[in-house]
Amino acid sequence: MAATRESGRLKDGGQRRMLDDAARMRRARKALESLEHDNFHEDPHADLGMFYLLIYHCHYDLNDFLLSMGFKKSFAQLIEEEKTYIQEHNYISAQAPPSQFPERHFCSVCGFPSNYTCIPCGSRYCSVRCLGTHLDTRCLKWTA
Amino acid sequence: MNKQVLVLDNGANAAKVGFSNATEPKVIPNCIMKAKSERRRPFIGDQISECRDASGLFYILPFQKGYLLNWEAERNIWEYIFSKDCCPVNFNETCLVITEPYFNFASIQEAMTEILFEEYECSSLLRINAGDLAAYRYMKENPGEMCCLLVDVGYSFSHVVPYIKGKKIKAGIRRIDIGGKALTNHLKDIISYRQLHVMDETYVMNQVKEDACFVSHDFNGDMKEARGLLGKNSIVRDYILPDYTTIRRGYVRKPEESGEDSEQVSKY
Repeated sequence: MAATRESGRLKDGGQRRMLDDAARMRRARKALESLEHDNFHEDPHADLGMFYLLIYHCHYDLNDFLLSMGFKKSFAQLIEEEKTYIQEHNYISAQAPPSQFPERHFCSVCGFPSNYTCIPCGSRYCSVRCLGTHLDTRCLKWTA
Repeated sequence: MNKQVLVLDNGANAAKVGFSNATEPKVIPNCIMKAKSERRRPFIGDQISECRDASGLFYILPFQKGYLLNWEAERNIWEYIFSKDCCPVNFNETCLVITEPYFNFASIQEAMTEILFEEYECSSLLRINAGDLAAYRYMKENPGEMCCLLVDVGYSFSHVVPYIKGKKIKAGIRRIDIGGKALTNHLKDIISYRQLHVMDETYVMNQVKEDACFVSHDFNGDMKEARGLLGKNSIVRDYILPDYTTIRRGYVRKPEESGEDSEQVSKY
């Protein structure tokens, strides 16, 4: 840490890249999407193949069957298909709109309510101590 | 008619299966897991209880974003569920009730029907939203009620569904894409950032979430309370993580027993 807080922050404040709102939104969306992952590490037995030694083996190839029937689709494909159907209520229309209440802000380091925004990346922090931790660790780490 | 009815609530995280005359269903994780310690076999559903070291499990989930997409995995899990090890079924003499998510996609519905009739040769099949069944029961038990609002917090998303006279109002269904999975992953993320790297430990962290987390009735008050120092803080807990030699399952330690003797994770 610099000897005095103000001069230290002012000094390297000029060198730091600042994110605009769009980039911050993108970043927040990315963080949300990452919560959808099933696994955060590699398959430990990837070399053994996907379905080694499973009890069930199809009478015929299930994959071929699903493909031939047009059932094997990714989630994105299903959404696209849903858009083409003329149905009043569907997956897309059921999506809840954003809350009408103002956002609540929580410190990205300690999780308690926070009042301040990190200038470069837009994350929230609650105290100088948390800001220090944030700058040392996650600030601008996941920016695309 | 003396056919049995099998109910399979095919959730994204757990499949609940049982005959209609049973008091309790069997809860089976709806996934295939691979353990680092066991190269020989994958663990299907509740076979995971036979696994000695459940650290660093690798998950294969049939569901993605709440919808059944990986049929190969699901077929393997069903095959286990319907086998004599789990819940023996003779489909020729059984009606099957199976649940599906709200606004299930047409091609998923078709594939499910196709597989259940063609491969398992079900005699009859009912595909229905799990919430419809809950609302049906509520209406039966409260005959005077005209409507109810059903909140279904799932693994992949949460729905709010209005029912009027037992009929689902499709226009009123709302969904937010937050469920148990996002919460477990968020908890993993927080703990990995603050204390100990647990990103690989979905299984353990899910247990932590189920043991230690709660829904606050007074959010701001509880946040203030959680700030309190150890000793004056009624929320902070120690959590003992499993080491798979002496401790098979993690648990929340009572506040009065806390010490500094082993690995711990504290949360609010």
